[in-house]
Amino acid sequence: MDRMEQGPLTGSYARDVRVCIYDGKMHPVDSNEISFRLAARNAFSTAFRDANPKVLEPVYDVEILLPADCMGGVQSDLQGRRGIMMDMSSANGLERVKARIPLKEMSSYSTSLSSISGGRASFSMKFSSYELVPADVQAQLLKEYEESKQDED
Amino acid sequence: MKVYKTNEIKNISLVGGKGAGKTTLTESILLEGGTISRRGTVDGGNTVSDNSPVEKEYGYSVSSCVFYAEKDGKKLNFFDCPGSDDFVGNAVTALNVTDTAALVVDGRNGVEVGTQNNFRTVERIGKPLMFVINRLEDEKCDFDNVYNQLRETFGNKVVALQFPVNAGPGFNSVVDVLAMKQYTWPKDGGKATASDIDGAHADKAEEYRMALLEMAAENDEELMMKFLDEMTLTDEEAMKGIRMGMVDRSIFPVVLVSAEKNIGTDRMLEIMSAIVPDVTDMPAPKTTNGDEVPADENGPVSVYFFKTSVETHIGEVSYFKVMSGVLKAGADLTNMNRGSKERLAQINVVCGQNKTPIDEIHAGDIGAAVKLKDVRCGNTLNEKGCEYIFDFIEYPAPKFQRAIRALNESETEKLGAVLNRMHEEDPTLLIEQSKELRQTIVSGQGEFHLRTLKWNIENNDKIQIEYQEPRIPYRETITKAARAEYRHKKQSGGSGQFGEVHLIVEPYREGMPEPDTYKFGNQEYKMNIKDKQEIPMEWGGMLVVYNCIVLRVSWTAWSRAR
Ligand SMILES: Nc1nc2c(ncn2[C@@H]2O[C@H](COP(=O)(O)OP(=O)(O)O)[C@@H](O)[C@H]2O)c(=O)[nH]1
Ligand SMILES: [Mg+2]
Repeated sequence: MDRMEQGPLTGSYARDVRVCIYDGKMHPVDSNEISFRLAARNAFSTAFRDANPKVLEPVYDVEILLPADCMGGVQSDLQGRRGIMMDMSSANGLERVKARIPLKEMSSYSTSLSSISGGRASFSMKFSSYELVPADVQAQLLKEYEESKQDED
Repeated sequence: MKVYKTNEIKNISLVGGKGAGKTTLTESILLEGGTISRRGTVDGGNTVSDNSPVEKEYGYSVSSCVFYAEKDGKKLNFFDCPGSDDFVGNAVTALNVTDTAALVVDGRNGVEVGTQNNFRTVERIGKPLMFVINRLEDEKCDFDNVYNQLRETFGNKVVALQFPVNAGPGFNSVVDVLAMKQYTWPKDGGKATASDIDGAHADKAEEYRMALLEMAAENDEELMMKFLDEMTLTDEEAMKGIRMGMVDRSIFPVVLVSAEKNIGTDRMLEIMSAIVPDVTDMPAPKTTNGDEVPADENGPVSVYFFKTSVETHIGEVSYFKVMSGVLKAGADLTNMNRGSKERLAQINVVCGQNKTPIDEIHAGDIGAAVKLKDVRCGNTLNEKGCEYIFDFIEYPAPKFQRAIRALNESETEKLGAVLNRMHEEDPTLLIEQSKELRQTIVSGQGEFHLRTLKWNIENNDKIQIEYQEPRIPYRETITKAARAEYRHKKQSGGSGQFGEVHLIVEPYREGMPEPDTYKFGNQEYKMNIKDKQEIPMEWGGMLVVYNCIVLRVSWTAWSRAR
């Protein structure tokens, strides 16, 4: 189903959908493969939009090593990035913070972290999972997608 | 150039924060090791180490530089590693092929971020470590403070082999408690003269000596017994104990230099040739099958290529470590990763860009070959019958991503080839053609890393490029069931098109029961499944498609009443 490759909401890949095709009509002469595909495609889009669709975003596990005195700065920066603190511990005179942060908010993190900490903190990141985006972000993404589609038309 | 045996070879990485003085120290080492006769300076842009155009332009080291020095019948191979985290990939490679890290510390500032970051990198790889405190001649250098900071931060494994007689401007003398001698250098550095320790420093020297011997003794029961009995050790015993302590990272010795004035360098090399572990002291590296391969000169010839770089006027240079056996010039080897045959017609020892051909290179030693036919970074080449494959270097995951594109679209393909080459030279640069995002994504260790990449592409390959924010790979899914039908009809002129489809979509979860009855509004649909297709999506998640027949459409009471 090629519609999965370009989801109806934002043109992103779709996943985890079950489809039951239960009826179809043909025309003795004019029906062909293409016609069915097009019909299926459109039916799928319509149903998808009616099925309370959601956008998922990639979320990363981020581990930050930092000196204790920049903890405040790092934490408030995390909040601005929709980050969720998962764990805190100290090791070797440094603090270790584990957090989950959406990829969208991680752009240039290395640069900000080094300006917050004066180059004294370091971090690593690893893909964790796909999570639903908050409603306001979803609305924004849909709007951007509609606009970009109009640009192309 | 003499051929060195396995137990005469020591491999050392110079690491430390940016600006600590590694590249300057490299010049002093080369001078003292007799490899060059005049030193260059970082500011003058004429050092052996920072020799690539981008390094000269920006004034910081980007790639590691391989060189050696000969001291007391030993060959010391060095890697001058870039200090910044952005280029940590080079340090990771170097630390993996060497056995000891010499962590250079700026004597003005003591423990800095770069010191800590580099310490952590060495710790992760588990290699022996020593500290080199630099800038002893600087008026801002306070040795006691720096030494205390090191012990506070890294523990009392940190132990001084030397203390300065006169730190600050005019610095030219240290008390060395390994040799129990005082060393004094001429004003402009170079060769030290050794003398008895001045009476004024005798007590402090005794105190430092005892602390050192106690730690040296701890690594061996025999040494410990002797030390407890006699409260002393011979110099040989002390050096053996320190070496054993370095191998299991229970001693981090500290030595002092002024790299700029070339004070302390010659003694540092003597100390290194005495206490730094050689390859045979270290645990044997493992092949991809988990077999241990000790650096054995009598073993089969096996060579691991850890670095390639392109040098102006020369072409591709491939750096290798002989893992086992004796590699002879002209050897015919098999590339285990690529299946190709390769003749290493000429093999060289290297000092920055200078290469000196040599007849043979023994297990544990490092060399380079030029213009090989089919050798990539990370390949293992073996003599016939040997099956070893090495792949022991683990690079840190990327931290900074950008989409890259050629400003001139017609150069897109050329850019792709350049990026692939860059990845081979620097495995921490990852390149991905994302079909999903419709972008080429480059990932690296930080902003500087990608900025350096841009400089290289624009200046060396003459392709103008631009970075953009990478798109985010969103996914879409649904959260409840819905039904739709669509009729596609186009019957005007020519052959017409007609098709109609009715379907139901619903969220898929692993292990959910097969579809049975759906209810939409007033209608119930009872399904009879004809066939089922489970399609795992390339990008994660599932699509499951059923072909069904609706057995019965039943109406609810409300609609029947209507
Ligand atoms: N005064 C003084 N300056 C030094 C010394 N060692 C290095 N420098 C200077 O410090 C700067 C950074 O040195 P460099 O060798 O490039 O450091 P690297 O980044 O560790 O390679 C250069 O300007 C050097 O000339 C030293 O022992 N004394
Ligand atoms: Mg340098």
